[in-house]
Amino acid sequence: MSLLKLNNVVYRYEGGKKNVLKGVNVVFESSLIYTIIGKSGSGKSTLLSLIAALDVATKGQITYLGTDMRELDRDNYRARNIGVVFQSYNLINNYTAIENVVLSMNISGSDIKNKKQYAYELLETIGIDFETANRKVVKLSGGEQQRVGIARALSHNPDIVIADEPTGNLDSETEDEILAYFDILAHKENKCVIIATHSDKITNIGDKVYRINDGRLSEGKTKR
Amino acid sequence: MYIFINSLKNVIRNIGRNILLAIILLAVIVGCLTALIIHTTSKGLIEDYMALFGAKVYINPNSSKVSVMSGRQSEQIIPLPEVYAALADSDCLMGADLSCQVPSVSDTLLGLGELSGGTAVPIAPNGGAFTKFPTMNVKGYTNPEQLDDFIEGYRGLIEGRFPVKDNECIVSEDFKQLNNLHLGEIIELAQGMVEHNPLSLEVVGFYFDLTQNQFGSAVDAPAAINVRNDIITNYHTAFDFAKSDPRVDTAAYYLKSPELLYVFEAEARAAGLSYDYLVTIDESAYLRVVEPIKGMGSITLTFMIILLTLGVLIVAILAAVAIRERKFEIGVVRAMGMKKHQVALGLVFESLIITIICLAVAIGIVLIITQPISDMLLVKQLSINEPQDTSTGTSMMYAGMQTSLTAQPPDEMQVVINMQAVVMISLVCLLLVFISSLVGIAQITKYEPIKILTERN
Ligand SMILES: Nc1ncnc2c1ncn2[C@@H]1O[C@H](COP(=O)(O)OP(=O)(O)O)[C@@H](O)[C@H]1O
Ligand SMILES: [Mg+2]
Repeated sequence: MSLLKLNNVVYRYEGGKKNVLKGVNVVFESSLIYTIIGKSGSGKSTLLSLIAALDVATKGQITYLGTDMRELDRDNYRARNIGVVFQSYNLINNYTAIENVVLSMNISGSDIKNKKQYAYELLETIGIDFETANRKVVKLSGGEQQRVGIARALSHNPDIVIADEPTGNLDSETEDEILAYFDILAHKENKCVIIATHSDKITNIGDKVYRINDGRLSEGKTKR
Repeated sequence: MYIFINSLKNVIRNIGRNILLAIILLAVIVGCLTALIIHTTSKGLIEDYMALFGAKVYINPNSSKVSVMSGRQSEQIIPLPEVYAALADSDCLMGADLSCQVPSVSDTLLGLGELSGGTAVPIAPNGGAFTKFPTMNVKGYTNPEQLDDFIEGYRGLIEGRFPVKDNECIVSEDFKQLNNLHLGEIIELAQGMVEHNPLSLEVVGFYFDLTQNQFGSAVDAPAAINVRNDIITNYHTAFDFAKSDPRVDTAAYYLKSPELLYVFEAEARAAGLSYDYLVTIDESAYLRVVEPIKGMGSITLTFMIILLTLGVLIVAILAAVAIRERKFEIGVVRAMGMKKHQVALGLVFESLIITIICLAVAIGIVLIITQPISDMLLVKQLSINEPQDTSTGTSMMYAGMQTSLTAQPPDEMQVVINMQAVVMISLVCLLLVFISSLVGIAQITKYEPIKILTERN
């Protein structure tokens, strides 16, 4: 069975004048990297938000393992099944990096005993050392915040990882590192990785590439 | 559990704002607690005084009527002994104190002040026989030993004993020395005003007397009103002696409870008590005592209501501001999958932690400041109520007779920190903080996280 299935999804923001998504059909499976490329304002972030169950579709259906999102406990789904790396990080600013990650683990009800230890290790692998991990988020650079955001998204070991322009604020060396990490997630840890971007460079790592244009999704060229 | 710990950390993370909130809360709680404690204490005091003085009923001549009727047959305004006797058996009563004063003369005894003041002025009330101007007063009491002067130490027995049987009396030391009296001596008196009605009393005791005369010093005061010339005997003896003399009698009856006043008055009227006599509780004393405390009670209550309203307003505004500032944070944790009720619980925890800390500190402060504030307020209240006292001075001519007009205004109010007040205000505070945080929470959690997050970006 497919992991996630979007069936003719239409979305309009509350109080918005037009549909931002205009009938999106797509299926996501485990162990693959999906890239979605589109111009700014084409609806990438909106699509990812619906996949992350931050809201439900205005029309159409999104199913996770066959269950309609509308019937799903979306809080639980967000807490356990999906990890989101936000375009604007969305970290809690007056928490330290480690506190952000541990809070996410707590919310997911993770049964890891020493959550703090685990979070430090996770941050370490993604390039945040102990000293940085204990700094408040406001005192971190954009790149560091992005890494903390990734660590948080992975902290509860979700099946699906979505990332909204994850490398937008990173230098190209760091960008490569991060992309390599996503590659491991999909191909070694069998996660479904969905990355939205406006950069052609990133599309290269996608097992499947989609284009989004004015709220419509179309299958793009797939490299492999 | 992690929600509580996180709330605890959040209290510290937002320490600046929380200190502001805490100061306001603290002020409100301290103010309210202080006010409430003073209020409940004063209410308790009023109830005590009500029970004590509200229960004491006087039967006194209606002074306005006495003067109008002085030309009439005197029997009409004298309560019959049967009335008093009948009333003494009333089911409403715990006891009775009766008194009777008879201005007297004597051929063999001198009164203090008799030689220096104008004496022996012949007067002829009712067109009767000329008699001497009274130079001493026979005063009869149900319980001479229970007179306030004796209890409070202004007078004290120095020789002999109190009168027990009829026709026994005690006199002051000054009176004894003036007339060279000794224990067991029989003294001869006569009623001063109307007709010759001799009385023989056995002197069974002497007392020292430190009480002040209303007019002039003890030695100089005119004999007729010089308290050193009191000849104290029991009520029955004085009453028999007085017979038809227009005189001042007082009767104080102790009701089992103040509400029985009207029942008791009805009984008195039924027993034949004339309407020339008033059946009253000691209102002036009651007012003197209760009014200042009552004033304090209402001041503190008003203060508390204003403070509480203001406090709630400020706390609600602060809570609204805080929630708006934290909207994004809430959006983030919701996006991470925290349920609405968990978010709400976290915020309520934070409010509760702050409130409980404030309560603890506030109670500590209140313990220290309540008594001084109460003292200050009471002093102010007493000075406000002072002028009313003078009105009671008019009947002072007979002050010595009024068995006990002694209900003193409190010069001190012992404030007791009662747990009830503390618990009540704590609950009210917790409730208010709880409600004000819920209002903010309800607002913020009704949105899907997407709205909060996209709004910010
Ligand atoms: N909260 C919102 N309310 C109304 N319209 C919105 C909101 N957020 C985004 N939009 C609109 O939705 C469209 C798609 O936005 P978005 O998904 O952020 O695009 P992208 O991520 O591809 O840049 C844009 O036209 C944007 O103006
Ligand atoms: Mg975007």
